[in-house]
Amino acid sequence: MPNVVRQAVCLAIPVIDGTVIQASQGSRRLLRELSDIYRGEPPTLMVVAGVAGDTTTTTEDLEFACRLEARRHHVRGPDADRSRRPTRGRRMGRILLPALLGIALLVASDGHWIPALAGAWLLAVRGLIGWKPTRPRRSKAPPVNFDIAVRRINHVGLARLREVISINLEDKLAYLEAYDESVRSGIPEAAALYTKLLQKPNPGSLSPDDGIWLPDAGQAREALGAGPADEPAEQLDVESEIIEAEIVADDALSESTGPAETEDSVAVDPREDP
Amino acid sequence: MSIAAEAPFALKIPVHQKDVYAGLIDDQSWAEEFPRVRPPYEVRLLAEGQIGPRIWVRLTSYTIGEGGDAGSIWIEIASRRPSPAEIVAGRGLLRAFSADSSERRRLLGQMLLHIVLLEYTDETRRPLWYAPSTAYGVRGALVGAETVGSPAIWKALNTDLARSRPSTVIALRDAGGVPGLEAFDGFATSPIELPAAVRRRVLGELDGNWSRFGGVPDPRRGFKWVRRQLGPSRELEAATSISSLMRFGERRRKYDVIPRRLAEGELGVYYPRDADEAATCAAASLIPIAPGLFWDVLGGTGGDPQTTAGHAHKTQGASSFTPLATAMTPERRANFLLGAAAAAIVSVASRQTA
Repeated sequence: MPNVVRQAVCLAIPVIDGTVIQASQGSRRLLRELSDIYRGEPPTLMVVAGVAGDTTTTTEDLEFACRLEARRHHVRGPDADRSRRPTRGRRMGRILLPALLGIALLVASDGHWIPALAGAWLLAVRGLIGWKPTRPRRSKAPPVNFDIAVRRINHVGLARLREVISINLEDKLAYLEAYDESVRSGIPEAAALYTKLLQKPNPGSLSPDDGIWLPDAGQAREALGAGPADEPAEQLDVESEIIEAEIVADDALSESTGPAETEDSVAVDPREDP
Repeated sequence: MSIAAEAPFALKIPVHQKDVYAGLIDDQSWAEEFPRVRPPYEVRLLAEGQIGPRIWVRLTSYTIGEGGDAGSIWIEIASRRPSPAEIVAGRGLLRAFSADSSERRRLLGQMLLHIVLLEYTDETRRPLWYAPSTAYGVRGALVGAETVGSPAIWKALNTDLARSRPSTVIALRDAGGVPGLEAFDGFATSPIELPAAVRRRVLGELDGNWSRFGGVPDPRRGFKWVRRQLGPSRELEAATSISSLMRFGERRRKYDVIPRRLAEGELGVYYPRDADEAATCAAASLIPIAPGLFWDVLGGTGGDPQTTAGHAHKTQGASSFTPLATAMTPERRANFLLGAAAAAIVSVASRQTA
């Protein structure tokens, strides 16, 4: 049995303070239909992750996000027209209408064998042999669970977007310029994402269908290294002020309390006595 | 053996009443209650990380119990973004097992319970929650079974899973008001390995056996056919037990096998009602075992590895369940998650002491 490999593309779209991993539109369609395309041996799915060259997202994180994104679109399956879904009334109609038509044909046949046969067919025989022309015949092959391999490649358009995002300090301006750049570079997924971010410039407000947000690796390490990490960033700035104050305090208080002063009291004193 | 020890286990954690739900979802009242709830647990902070810009979460493990015959049960509520229903379910579980009742003590004497919760940190403003997917029906709900979206948190979950080596894993997930399933409270999936031939036959012929003469839907016939194909097994017995416990709790005397009209207090679990729905379940690799319970036979190797339950089944060999809440209101979803967790816990405890 040949080893079938199918390729999907995930884009690491840069946003402020991170990256959003999103399957391309074509790959979404492919992944949704995948269970209907293949029969037999499970295929290998090669996810090509397009990233900006200088992205800080680690390969491990990228792989994790690409796998989740691929699973999401594969599991949800093909988009079905909801209006075509059988309601209770439609289901009953599907059963009752042929039966009523069958009875009508039998009654109206008046001894003619062709309408009588058609009536019998609609009323009973069709159901007996389980033939229902309205329902598409399904393949007997069960759906597949494919292996996912992720490959990272540099994407020039995404690199340009990263640059645009990083040089703009104001969120909305950054997304506006990134939108223009994504249209110029022909990345409709990024353009759609930036359009949403222009309305609400917080990637935390995106819906799960918009992709998976990953923090910049440097930022994540800094946050995790800070221990309990409950402290907001502002407190770190305060600490740096305290270090400066400590030197002043040592000089000012050395006569009365000596160098064994605790950090807490040193941090308070200079503010009281500048 | 004493009479108390022979009595069947019971566990009911209802939160569908508005005031109970409101008390648990309110961070301020929970902050006041938590110091009273916490003492019996051994609490460990597993990880902290971001699931969005300035959205900080912490993964905490709460352990309680004596580790008896029922082994170790690992309950995880760590979805991509904690939903209000999941937060209430987590707090409801903590409150229920910290309560000093003889029934809880009897249950905890049989098992070691790890409750692993993903919670927003105190300073994080709770962000807007979206349903995991807008897709229709059972496949839309299955999207919500995915693991947490943060690689760092997933790593910590994985490490704790390997450390705890649980015999049963329950991953509670809020799938939101899933289009097509809003009328139901939810359903549970369990990853199972099946021989390729059986899997192929059951999935392939499921829809054909879900109706009787004339195409009239007959789920009862369908369930019977599935059971005949799979043959008797311990897993099948457990699935049936969890299904009935999930629907009725301990109040199950005489009931309909197929929940056409709900009895008082019965949870409205999902099951395929006709051949079309059975075909949709088969296309998603789900085999309906009993109302509200499906075996996930994706790939024939026991479930989807991108879900906590599938991963735990593959790597730890644990019996795993993913209850997915699909109702429209968060109260009903939280209630279903707690009902499903309670059913699995009681079923495991009862089997071990039987």
